Formats: sequence, C-alpha cells, structure tokens
Amino acid sequence: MRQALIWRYIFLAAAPVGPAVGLVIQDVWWLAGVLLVTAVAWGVGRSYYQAADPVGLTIFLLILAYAAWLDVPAYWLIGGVLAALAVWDLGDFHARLVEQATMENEAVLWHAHWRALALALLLGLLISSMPLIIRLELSFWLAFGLALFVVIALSRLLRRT
Amino acid sequence: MSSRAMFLAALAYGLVLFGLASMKSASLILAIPLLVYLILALRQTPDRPTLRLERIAPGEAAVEGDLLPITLTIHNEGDRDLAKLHVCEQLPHGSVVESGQTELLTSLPAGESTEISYTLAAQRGAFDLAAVAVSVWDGLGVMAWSGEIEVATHLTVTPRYQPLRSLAIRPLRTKGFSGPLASRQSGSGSDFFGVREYQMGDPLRRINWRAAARHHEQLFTNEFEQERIADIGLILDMRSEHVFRIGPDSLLDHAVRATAALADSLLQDGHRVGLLLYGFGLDGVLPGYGKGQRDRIMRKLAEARPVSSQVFRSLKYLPTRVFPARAQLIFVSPLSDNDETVLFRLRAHGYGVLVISPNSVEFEAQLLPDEPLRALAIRLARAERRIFLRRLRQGGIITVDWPVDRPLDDLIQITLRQTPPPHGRIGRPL
Repeated sequence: MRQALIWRYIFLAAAPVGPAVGLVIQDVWWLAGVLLVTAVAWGVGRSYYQAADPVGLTIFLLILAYAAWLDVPAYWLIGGVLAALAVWDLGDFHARLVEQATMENEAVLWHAHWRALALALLLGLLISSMPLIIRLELSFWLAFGLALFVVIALSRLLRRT
Repeated sequence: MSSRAMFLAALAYGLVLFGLASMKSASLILAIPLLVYLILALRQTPDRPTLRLERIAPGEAAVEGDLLPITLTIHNEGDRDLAKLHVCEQLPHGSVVESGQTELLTSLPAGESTEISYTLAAQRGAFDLAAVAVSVWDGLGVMAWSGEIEVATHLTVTPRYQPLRSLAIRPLRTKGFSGPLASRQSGSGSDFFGVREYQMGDPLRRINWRAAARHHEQLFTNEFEQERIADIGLILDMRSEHVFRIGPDSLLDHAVRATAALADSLLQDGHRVGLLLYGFGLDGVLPGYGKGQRDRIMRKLAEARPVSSQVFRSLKYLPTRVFPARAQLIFVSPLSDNDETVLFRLRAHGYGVLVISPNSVEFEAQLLPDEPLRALAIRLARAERRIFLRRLRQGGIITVDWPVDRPLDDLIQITLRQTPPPHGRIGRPL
C-alpha cells in the first residue's frame, strides 16, 4: 500500500517537469506555472478528496492540450501524459486497498498491478513515440478518417465488454 | 463497463476531437497513451471466474447467543490467475459479526484457494446465507466481472431458555402410556390412591392389613394411582399488537423462550406435545413425542416473528381441533381483553387451559416517560390486568402472570401447586 503511495508521488512530481520545460522553451511561462500549481493542488487535494484524481487528470490533460495548441512539441508532453495517467491509476489502486478491511497477498496484488501499469506506460510511450520518429504527412481527411476509425473501434470494443 | 473506463474513453475522445479541430497532431499523439491503457484493460476484461466456493458453518445445534464460526473457502478452479479478486459475504439483515471479516481482496493464482473466516453472534431465527458477491478485475483494475455465486447454507438458531422442572399439570384426560402425571386412575403406580375390597389374584403385599383387622372376615387391597402421559398443545401468540419491543429485547422473544422451555420439559417427561403459532394462518408442529419432536418445535420457534394480520387480530380463528379432544392447552401470550371469550370457549370444549402470560404492563412500564401521572397510569394498568386474570381464574383457566425479569420456573411451580384439581371426574370412574 505504501509503495503505491510513494510511486504515486514520484509520478506526480515527474508529471509537470517535461511539459513545463517545453512551455518555458516556448516562452509560455505562465502556463508552466499553472501546470506546476495544478500538480501541487492535485497532490494536496488527493489527501482530502478522492475525486481529486479524475479532476486532476482532466485539468492536467486540458493544460497539455492547450500546450499542444501553443505548438509545444509532443515529445515534451508525452512524458507528462504518461506520468499523469500513472498518478491517476495509482491513486485509484491505493484507494481500493485502503477501503478493504481484509487483504491477502498485498505484495502479489501490488506486483500484478505494477506489472500491468508498467506495460501500459511502456507501450504507451513506444506507440506515441512512433509518430515522432516516423513522420508521415497526413491530409486532414486521412487524419479525420483515422481518428474516426479509432473512435468507432474503441466504442465498439467498449460496448462489447 | 466501469466508470474508470468511461472516464478514460471520454478523455481520449476529447483529445482526439481537439486534435482534429485544432489541426494539431501533438494533441492526437497525447491521446495515444490513454488509448493504449484502455485497450490493454479491455483486452484483459475478465470473464466469469471458475470458482468453487464452500461454506463451513455449524450445523443444526446453534442456540441463540452462541458464536458461530463460519469459514468460506474459495478455490480457483480455472486455468487463469485472478489478478484482483474481491469476495464479499452477503449476510442477512441484522446479522452481527463478532469477529473476523466478511470480505477479502486478494490475488488468486489458478488452482489455489483462500478463505474468509468470521464469527457471527447467533440471533434466534432461520437464516439463509446464500449468495457471495464476487468481483474480478483486470490487472489495471479498470474492467471487472461482478456477480453473485450461490453457496446455500441454512442456519437455524433456536431459542436459548432456562430449563424448567417437571410440570405438575392436571390434564382432563391422560393417555395410555406411563408417564409423570397422576391420572386419577387406580393401577400400578407409586402414590397411594385408595382401598378396595380384596379380589382373587391380588398380590399379598398389597393387602391393607390394618383395614382387614378392623373388619371381620374381610380383606382389602391398596390401590395406587396410575402415572400417565398427556396430550399437550402449546400455543404461541405472535400477533404483532401484543409484541412490545425495547431495543433488542422483545416480549415475543421472552414468550418464545418460555414456549421452548415448556416444550423441552414436557417432552422430557414423555408427553405428546404439539405447537401452534398463532398470528398468521396455521403454522406449527403436529403433536409428537421425543427428541425429534423437540427439534421440530425448536426449529419452528426459531422462525417465530411478530406478524400482523387483520384476520387473526383476535383469537376467534384459533384452530383448536389441531389438538386432541380434552388435551391440555398451554397458551403463551401477553393477552388482551378480547381473548377472554375464546379462552372460556376452549375450556367449555373440554380442554384444560393453562395460560402463561408475559406481563406486558411491567415490560411496557420501562418505556413510559418519567411524568407525574406515570405511577398512576401503571397502577391502573396493573389493576386492570389483575382483574382480567382473576376473571380467567374464576373461569377455570390456570394463569401464570409472568414478569419477564423473574424466573418462569418458580412461578409455574407455585401456581400449579396452588391450583386445585379440575372440576369433574377425571379418567375412568372408580
């Protein structure tokens, strides 16, 4: 339980670093400040409200999306998304453990979760790095079609489960 | 689908839409980690687990107030490890867990098993521990299978009671088998019954020599009173308007315990005992003997609950024909004024009637607020009850007024000792 909490704080500390650097390079100091304040507020808020996790992740992603709109390169932002995702995930995992009156194999539970999370983060990093390495010129309609495919495929998958 | 998956999907859709609207590829790229996370979770969506659940609970012998150790064993008989398994016992309403836990979060590899142990404080009743709520999550805890797995366990907690001494009741008719009751018939027994003229074949040791000495050329034989068993019908009043409750303590609980003690004592003495629960239709146990009958009665008493019914509000529909003619009826009820007529009718039909009445006035008095008129109100209620019970006694009904904080055994013994034998001839004429 303690490990989840420690890793959560590590990821929370790491989440704003990359995007903040990107924003500073782009000379958008104020947004970098907002990002840091958000991270601190998320960390503090989580101690009091469990809902701070989804709210924190939403605000964090909104700021990163805005940073993307301000032409901050994606490689500065990806680390932030992954770390924010890990913070949200570990927060939920920790809350679930705390709620339990009886728990067995806590270490096994933690390792299973950590393995799954590490795999998700690693794959996320790999796949999101691909477009940065292999730069393809996509027309708007091709990008639109691709996005539409992703949305429909994911929706069908969600509905099926 | 879980709320977490919905939330992530909404965020990913938002980023994709924003990327398309703003024509920024970076925004689309930001959605990728979320989509990967979600797809991994969706791929691991758990199916119904192949679990075998076994519950070990104490058998039929549970008595009110006992601590019941219960163990639920969960075997993973599937070929997949369960990364996160949550098992939760669904206990009946009002159950009190004395120690241990009724739920467990664990990781259960294929072929292995785990268990939950807890102790329930047994309260009188018949309970079904049936469904166990089971949830299985994927490794990330996003997608889950949740459902219930049936593991039927029936628990019957019988009432706890103070045993009673043998009851010296005087039923109007006894049965043919030997037992503890004086039958008012001569025969083989231990108590002196009377003297009659000697008849050929009478054993010499039964000749009353003193009487023979007083009469010329005449011999007399001592007679002894036969001891027999009787048919006894226990009637428990469960009408809700007679059930007073103070916190966890209820007058019906006391009445149930009294009925259980009576049944136990009477069956131990060898009588044929039946039970009728009055309040909602016809429910009870047909007359019978022995330990089996005791268990049947205890199980039925375990289920006794106050019931409200417009039809059975009065004793008008008391089905007396359930019990053999001229049987001894023992009616356990706090009583109300309207019950008088029916009790007299029972008496007129030839039943012996003994009423054990938990004193509702004394019980309720604890509830009354401490007001100036409290003492007067209680006094009036006591007087009213006293007059009512006196009327019953005058009508040939033996009544035991039982303040529930006093031992019932003493009160019954005193009452029965003070009660004269019933009017009319009992048994075969001499």
